[in-house]
Amino acid sequence: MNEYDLLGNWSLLLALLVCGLGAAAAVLAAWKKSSPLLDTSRSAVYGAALLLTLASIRLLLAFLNNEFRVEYVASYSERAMPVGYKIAAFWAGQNGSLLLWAWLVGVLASLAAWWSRRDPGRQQAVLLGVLLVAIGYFLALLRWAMNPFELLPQSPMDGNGMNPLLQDMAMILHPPLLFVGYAGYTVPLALTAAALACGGGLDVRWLNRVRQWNLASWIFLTAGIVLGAQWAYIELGWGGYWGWDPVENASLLPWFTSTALLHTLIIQRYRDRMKWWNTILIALSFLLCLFATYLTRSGVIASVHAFGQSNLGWFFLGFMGVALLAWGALLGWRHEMHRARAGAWRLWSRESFVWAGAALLMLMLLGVLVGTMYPLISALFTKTPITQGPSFYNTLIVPMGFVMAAVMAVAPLLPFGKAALPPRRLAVTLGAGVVALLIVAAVTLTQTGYLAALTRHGFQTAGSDRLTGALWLGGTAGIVTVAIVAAVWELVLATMLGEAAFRARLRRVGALSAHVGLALAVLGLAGSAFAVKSDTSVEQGQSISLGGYTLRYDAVRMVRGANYAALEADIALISPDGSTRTLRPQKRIYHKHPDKPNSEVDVRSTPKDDVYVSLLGWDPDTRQIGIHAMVHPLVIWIWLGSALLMLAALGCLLVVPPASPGATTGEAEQAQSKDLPSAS
Amino acid sequence: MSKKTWKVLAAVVILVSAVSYLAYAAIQSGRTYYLSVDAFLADDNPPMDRSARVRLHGKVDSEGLQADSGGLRARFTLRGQSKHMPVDYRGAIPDSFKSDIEVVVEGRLGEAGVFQADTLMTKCESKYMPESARAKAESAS
Repeated sequence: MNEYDLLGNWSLLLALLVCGLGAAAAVLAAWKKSSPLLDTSRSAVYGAALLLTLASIRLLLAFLNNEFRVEYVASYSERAMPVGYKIAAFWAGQNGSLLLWAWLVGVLASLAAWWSRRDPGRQQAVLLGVLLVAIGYFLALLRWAMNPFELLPQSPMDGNGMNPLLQDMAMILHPPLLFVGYAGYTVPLALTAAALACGGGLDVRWLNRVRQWNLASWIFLTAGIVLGAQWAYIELGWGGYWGWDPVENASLLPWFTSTALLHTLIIQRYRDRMKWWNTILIALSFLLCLFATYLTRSGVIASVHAFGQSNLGWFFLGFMGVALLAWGALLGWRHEMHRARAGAWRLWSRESFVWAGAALLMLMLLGVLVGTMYPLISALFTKTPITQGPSFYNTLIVPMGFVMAAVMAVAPLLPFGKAALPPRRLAVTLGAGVVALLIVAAVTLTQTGYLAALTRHGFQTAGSDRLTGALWLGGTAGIVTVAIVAAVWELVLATMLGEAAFRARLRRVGALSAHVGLALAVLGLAGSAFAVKSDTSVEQGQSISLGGYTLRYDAVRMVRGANYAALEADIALISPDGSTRTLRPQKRIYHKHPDKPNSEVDVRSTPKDDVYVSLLGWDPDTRQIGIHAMVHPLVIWIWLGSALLMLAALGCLLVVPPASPGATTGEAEQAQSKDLPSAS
Repeated sequence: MSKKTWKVLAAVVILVSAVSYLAYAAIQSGRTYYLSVDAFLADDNPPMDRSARVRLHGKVDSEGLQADSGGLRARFTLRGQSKHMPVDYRGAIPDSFKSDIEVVVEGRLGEAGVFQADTLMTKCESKYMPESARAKAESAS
């Protein structure tokens, strides 16, 4: 036995034992209706979280003290690395990130256990049991499949250090954010199992809790995904933010279900419908996090990122299979709790549009899943595996995403149920959207020279991609306009209607602002249809023109940083209006990684477009530099829109819906939901 | 059937055909064969046209790597288990590109058996796999 065993391995083993005993106590507590057993079970959740904390501290200390005998530390850290990066190296590899994930599940489970400590006994027992099984699963995975405390036969003098690409603020925050989201989806699952198993039913209390957990997890997951995209944009040097790589796609899968769930829960709240959707989406959000990890970490799909071959697969598949069966059995047993309000769906109603949006999200999920798994699927039919590249997703997912965004913009304008449509509001909002569409499309067609080409050469040669691009951009501008007008209208109503209705209205303003954020992000994505790039060699004093700008190579020099030396070029950027500024992209060589040069791009960002330059190299013989230059319209709106989306969602999280539907008097939809039978 | 049923049925048919068409177009436009150098060069291999666009994975040979210092062109030998093939890549060279690493190239087989690549991706294996595990995987294969 050694010191790593004591705090590391033994903590994990002991935690596993605690989880097992706690789960047994939960089963007994439910059966015997014993409250001491229930307390034991609850303490087991806290205990497991505490032991996971100890194990995490042990790994963290190993990083801080440069204990390179621990293989994981040797693989991802080195003496010369700043302390901040040593901490971040904790989750630079898969074993450490799994420990982080497990620790987060433990902490969030403890919070959930604490907050539900006054629930009816049986309900608590089921909740605790499910949480303990989930924590136990992660512990088993950590102990026997991905142990971060594996030792090397002897301690090396120094570690390998972290990949320079990962030494970046965005990359440090990206994994923990994703894992908070992933871990968070465990709680709605446990809450729902408890509500279904004990006859409590899917009542408003349950609705509110699941809403809060799902929304909070969603905010973290979204932040993680956006930060990852931003990192790719700045750090990878090719000027893209999303490559449809399996690892990226994987994080998108639970995002689709969770986003759908945010909205279908509202339909259950006000219309007493879509209960099946909700219980299934809750399970899918949890399972897809595991499945995503399985896909990318087990080596079944050869991604650019994940290259490990391991036997992890069975750990994941087995658990997912059992969880799926258990969930199916639970839903089958409690199918009567899913009984929804009967009657026809009116097409022009909020619930129909939310349903359509959720269905589109599910189709997009299916599309991304099929694209990601295509090498596996095609192996059934041909000898040679076939992969699907970005054009698969651009053809399939992008149009669906566009329709989804349109549905999203229109849905909040429609009333629930059979209430009369608000004609004035619809006319003003949609009218503004159509006007914006026409103006933007017309301006784009003129500016890109499509109209001139059309009148001169006719439809065939005018360039259909410019036409589709303009429609794309016009359409998204229309969506943004509709979303903005709807949000402003709601804000005006909220201030005019006074105190009583203000809070409920405020929640709607939050939701509508989130829609504005997403619409702006979609507008930013649409800008990529007009991105132009150039990879060229240029001599000193020579210029290239790109997207209306002129880029002139003025000088190149060597510069020194704290732990790197870099080649730096001066590139004069001359705008169409004549103004000039200098961009200074670098090619850095970190002392520790002479074989891994790192491009430090320079970007000039404006609301209209980004000019992105990365320095590829310098040829001392020809005195030419190689540059990768890109003019990418509207990129900044992706980041601004996402920021607004998350802030607005945070606002919605803080304004909790009332515990009983009756308390929302004054809210427009209440008029129609009064005739609802109470769900509880 | 009532008028309403017909309406719903028509809507469903239109939606299903639209989505199916999208899916079909997407699968056709995005599909690329993905195979190792060995499988690509094997005599019995090609279920597809040899000049088709493919994605190949292999290792950059330690010898014969010529990367332009301008960073826009690289010529190297892509090595599989037993076979190898010269590659001429034109485009921005990724930072992590060097000899002895796993790469994925995309392009077509050109004249004289030189693979003309326009996409070059390096697998950032260091991110998820410790050295020893990699050594194990290599010795096992």
